[in-house]
Amino acid sequence: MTDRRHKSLEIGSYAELLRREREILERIERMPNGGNLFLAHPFRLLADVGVVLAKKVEEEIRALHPELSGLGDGPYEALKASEQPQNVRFNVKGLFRRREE
Amino acid sequence: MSVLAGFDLVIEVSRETVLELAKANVEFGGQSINPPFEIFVPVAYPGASGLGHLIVHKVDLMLAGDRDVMLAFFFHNSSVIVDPPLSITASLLDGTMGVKATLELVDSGKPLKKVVSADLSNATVNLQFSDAAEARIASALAGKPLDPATFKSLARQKAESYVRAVGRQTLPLEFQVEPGKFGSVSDGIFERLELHNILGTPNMFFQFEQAVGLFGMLLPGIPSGDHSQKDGPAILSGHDLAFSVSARAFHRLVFCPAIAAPAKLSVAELPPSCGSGGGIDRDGVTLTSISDTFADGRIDVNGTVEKSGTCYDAHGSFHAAVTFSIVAGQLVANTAVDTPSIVVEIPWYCQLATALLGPIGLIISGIVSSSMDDSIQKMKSMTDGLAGKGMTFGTGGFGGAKFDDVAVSPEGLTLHGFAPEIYLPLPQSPGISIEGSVVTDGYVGGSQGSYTVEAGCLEGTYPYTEVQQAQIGTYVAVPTLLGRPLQLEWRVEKINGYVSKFAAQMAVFDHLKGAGTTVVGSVNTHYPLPLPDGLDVVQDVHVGYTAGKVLVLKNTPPEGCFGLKVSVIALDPMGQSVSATSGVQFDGDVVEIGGGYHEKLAECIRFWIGVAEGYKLQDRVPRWVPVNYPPEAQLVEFIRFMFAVDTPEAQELLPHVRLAHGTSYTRALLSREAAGPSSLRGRQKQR
Repeated sequence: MTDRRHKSLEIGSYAELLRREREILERIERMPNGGNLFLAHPFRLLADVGVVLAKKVEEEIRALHPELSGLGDGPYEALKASEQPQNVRFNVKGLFRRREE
Repeated sequence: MSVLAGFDLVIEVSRETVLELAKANVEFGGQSINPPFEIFVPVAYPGASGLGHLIVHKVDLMLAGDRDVMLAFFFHNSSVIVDPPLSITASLLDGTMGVKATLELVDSGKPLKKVVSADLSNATVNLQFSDAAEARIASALAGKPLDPATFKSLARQKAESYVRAVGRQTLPLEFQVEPGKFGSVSDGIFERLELHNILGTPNMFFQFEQAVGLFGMLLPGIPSGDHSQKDGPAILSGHDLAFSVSARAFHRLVFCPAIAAPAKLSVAELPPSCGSGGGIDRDGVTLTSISDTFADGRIDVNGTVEKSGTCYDAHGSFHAAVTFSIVAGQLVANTAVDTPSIVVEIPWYCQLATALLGPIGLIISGIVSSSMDDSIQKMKSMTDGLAGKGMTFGTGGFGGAKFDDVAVSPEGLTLHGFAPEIYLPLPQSPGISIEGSVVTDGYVGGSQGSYTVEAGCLEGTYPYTEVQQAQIGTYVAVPTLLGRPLQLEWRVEKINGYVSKFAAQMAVFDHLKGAGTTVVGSVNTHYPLPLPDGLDVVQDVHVGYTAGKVLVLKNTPPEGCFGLKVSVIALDPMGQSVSATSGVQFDGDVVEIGGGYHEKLAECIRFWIGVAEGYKLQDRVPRWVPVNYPPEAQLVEFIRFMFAVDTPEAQELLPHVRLAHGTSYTRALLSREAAGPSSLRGRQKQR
């Protein structure tokens, strides 16, 4: 479910995602444990910060990061529900690897 | 309350421990001041002289001012006796002699070593008499040209002169001081060291907690602390010692070196707070800072780390709380490392969440634990150092010191413990002994002749001279811990057999009072003639005497050689009665034989001993004892051997042994050694 605090941000292509990266990262940073939630389940987090990815874009990301096939909802929900500071705090400086990387 | 007062290392020794050290090491007149003991102070007054005598039954010690020490000597049964013509006898005096001196650190005579010392040549002494003693002094001075105030003033002056003559006294508290260099906690080396008393506030019993403090700086180039900021001893109740190390010294000399050593770096190369370096790598994690902060009950260790990976840069901070305990006398650290806090910068999504925290946490735990382990090893070295390597405390080092408590405060770390057992000299007890000797005062007659041995090894003719000797025996009673004046009762009695080690049998004795001649009945006497073995006669002997403080006895030469037993019974003003016994030997008739007799006898004895050894007559054959006042034990042993062998040769030679040794032979038979067991072993063996 999209977080109602965020204005919905429609992303129709991978290039657009990268163009809007700074704005999206700011949303993640404002989200409690946002960096950690991003690592737990980037698609759930993006949805929670109001980013609506087009199906094509999600497929492109999954192609670029095969490890994203093993994500689970349970850890993400637990972390999101926790109000405790985490021992490891992740600061996300970028969203996904650029194609040329 | 400040424990360290700005110093790096403070060693506190309780007043009670300093007192025990003083009892064991301070000497007055060559004797330790472990009570009871006695002091003799010569008294000189214009036209008069005498002796002051203090029997000290208790010693106490108090600390005062910055470095002063007050020794209190409680005396009783003491006296001042001034000889005629002034003739003053003040006895049964009791009171206190106070000695005030200053403790200081002086060169011990060894390089770089300082030792705790007090120069009694600058001491001040006061004398306080009890009311009863004051009354006795007044009574003793009645009618004398000396008033009590002057008497006491003179007594104080004499006591002070006596104490000052004792000179410098040293306690076995030795420390190494190397100015301008970094000190060492583990080796007990100071850069600077000061001694100051530590005086607490009075407790509910109006007693002050007191300790002697050694205030040391270990780090050069920083100002010393201010000992006056320490407002009382840190020594726990019932303990002897406290050793406190400042947080600063711990940091510089213990904590930081413990981190630098495994990295093979100097402290300066370490990252802050130890040095100014950029960081050190430990198992792939870079330690970028580390610090130790002393808090109540613990040391907080805080630090930061960095680690970079393929898709991340991690920055971590950590905290550990180190607490201490003493287990079986050993300092033990308990280190609890909190879960580290880590911030990870990632440039884009990469899978590392589960791979980072665990390994970094483990490495941080390892860093903290190993550095604290090393620190604790240094602290243990410090306690070992305090226990003997670096500083000595008590004879032979501080090896027996034990610690049972440790405390940490924002100032530093304090170990509480006990001094090793301080071995005090054996205390004396009241008693008396007799000392004296017999000397020949003149010759009153005798004879000359020749002695012929017709056959045997000694065959030959030897000239001899018989001499009758007037002898004087002079004996004094030497009391220990007895009040003055002493009433002495001298007695003489005949010796029933050998002189025993035990008290004299008083069945037959003569009291000796004043001067006169006493007759001792049925005494075993001996004359050297006829040669070679002389003649024994039981007869009454007449002994002239003068009995007083000194007993003088004179023999009657025609009564030959004999031994007597002298006894003395002493009674002091407090009613203590003790006695002693000694033997006295008069040799009124002796023979000197010449013509090579002694050389021939020695030759014959050696031959005979050779025969005895060849036939294994005894398991142990003693050597011939040369004639020249040999030790009685040696001669007794030889005589016993000859009796035990009992061969014709021994029977023939034994009278000659007696003749050759003369009075020594008699003295040997009357000696205590003759009353003791033989060292000869084994039974006589048949040829």
